Amino acid sequence: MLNIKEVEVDTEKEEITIREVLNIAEKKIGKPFLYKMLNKDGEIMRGTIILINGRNILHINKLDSVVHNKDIVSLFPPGGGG
Amino acid sequence: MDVACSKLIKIGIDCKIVPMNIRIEDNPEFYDGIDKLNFDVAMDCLDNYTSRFAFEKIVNGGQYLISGGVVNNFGQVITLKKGGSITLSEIYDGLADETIIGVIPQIIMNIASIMTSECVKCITGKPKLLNRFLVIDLENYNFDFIELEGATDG
Repeated sequence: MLNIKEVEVDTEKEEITIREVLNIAEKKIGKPFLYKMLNKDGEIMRGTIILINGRNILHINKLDSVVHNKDIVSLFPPGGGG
Repeated sequence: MDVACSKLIKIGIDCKIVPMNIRIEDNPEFYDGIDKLNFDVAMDCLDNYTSRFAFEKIVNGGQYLISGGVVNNFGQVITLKKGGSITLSEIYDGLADETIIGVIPQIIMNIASIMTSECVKCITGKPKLLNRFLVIDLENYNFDFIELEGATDG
């Protein structure tokens, strides 16, 4: 999607929300990508998969899901075609 | 389907091929028609999430489900084991079927080859993609693994 394999997000907080992580990552990458994932209301668009340690954030607390130090956040556009 | 079946038989492979003219949908007709099947590995190459979720329901405890999907230059493959993995419907929760999905043939061939290879590994009891996605981006030649959370009651 962005031709970026990995980006490390630094924060002084012990835990932050995935929404904050995504905003920090976008600034760090310097290439807008959240417009592809979030709608105008800032909610997750259909067709977007966001995982924290392999768990879909829709099953945690959506964009308010908490990310801890060393957690791995994965974003990818899953292919639905076959 | 019948054409694909006859072409495969013409190759002369030593396999029994049983075409089933059943629509893969979330309705009793599909589940009744497929209920008597016994298999070790199921491979999902379907082109919509509704059918994928219906297909997943026929996989029983201990059986492997290899699922592959493609869009544009992207594709992903994952192996799940009923009872030892989260489900496709959990992973792909919130996704809707698109009317038209554009794909390039190369990604289909890549994903299909990997699914076939993974199928052999499942049959021999050594799957490499159990609970982990292999995500392929042919635009940039990126191949990445994404680990999923561990087993649930599935």
